[in-house]
Amino acid sequence: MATVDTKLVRLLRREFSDLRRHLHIDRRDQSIVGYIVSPDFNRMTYAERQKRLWNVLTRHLDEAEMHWIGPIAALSPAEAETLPDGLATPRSTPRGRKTSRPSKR
Amino acid sequence: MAKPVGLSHRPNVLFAASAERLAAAVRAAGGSDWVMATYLAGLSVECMLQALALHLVPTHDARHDLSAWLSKCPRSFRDTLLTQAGCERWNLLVAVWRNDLRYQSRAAFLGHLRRLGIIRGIKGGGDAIMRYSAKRVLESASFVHRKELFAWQRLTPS
Repeated sequence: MATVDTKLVRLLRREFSDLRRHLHIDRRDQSIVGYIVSPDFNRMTYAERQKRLWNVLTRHLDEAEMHWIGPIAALSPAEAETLPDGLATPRSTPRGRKTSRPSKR
Repeated sequence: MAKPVGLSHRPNVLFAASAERLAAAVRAAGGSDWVMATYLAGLSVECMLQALALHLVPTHDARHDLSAWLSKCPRSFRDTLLTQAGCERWNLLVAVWRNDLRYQSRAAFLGHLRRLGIIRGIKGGGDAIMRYSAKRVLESASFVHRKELFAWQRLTPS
């Protein structure tokens, strides 16, 4: 049987295009917090993003699984680009295009 | 790598600092210093997250990732953000606030906002865009800070 975090990641990958994620999973506390990145969130307000995310979660996770879900921010690729943990770099880029890593301070 | 806890990493110090940074953010917004208002508003949230997290586990990893700090806070606090209003405001803070905003000029801050792509539909020039964004960050930080304050009071009953 898949763990909640495995099921969550599979679900998010299915529902959001080109998904990247940075989730803090605490099995002792049964808690998942963090953020996900997808171009689907481009041009969406923060309210719309959260509504879409929670619609997906509540539709596919049961009550016990929902107990694990903490605040998860939904970011566009542009927003993720300046985050400190290096999620900026896409896993694959079109040939000939350079990617830059975020500066660390 | 975890570092030993110094004076600026003590929960009581961070708690006091968070209130002072939020007050300073309000003053900066009153003076139309939108860059500093945004930076200080987010910093006040970060200070309080660190206070809550370090109260539980006294190790500081010296990074400025709001989500990472939130994951170390008491679950009871995290759960208070699980409303439509809470999630929306938390999302905005994670998306817009950066620790390096303090190094930015007004022009650089405006560039940051434009790069994020969240300023479509705002009428007016650069100042209107920065004012709108800073006020939203400040409002979101105040909202989250209030939740943090309740959590802190539960953690440290006097």
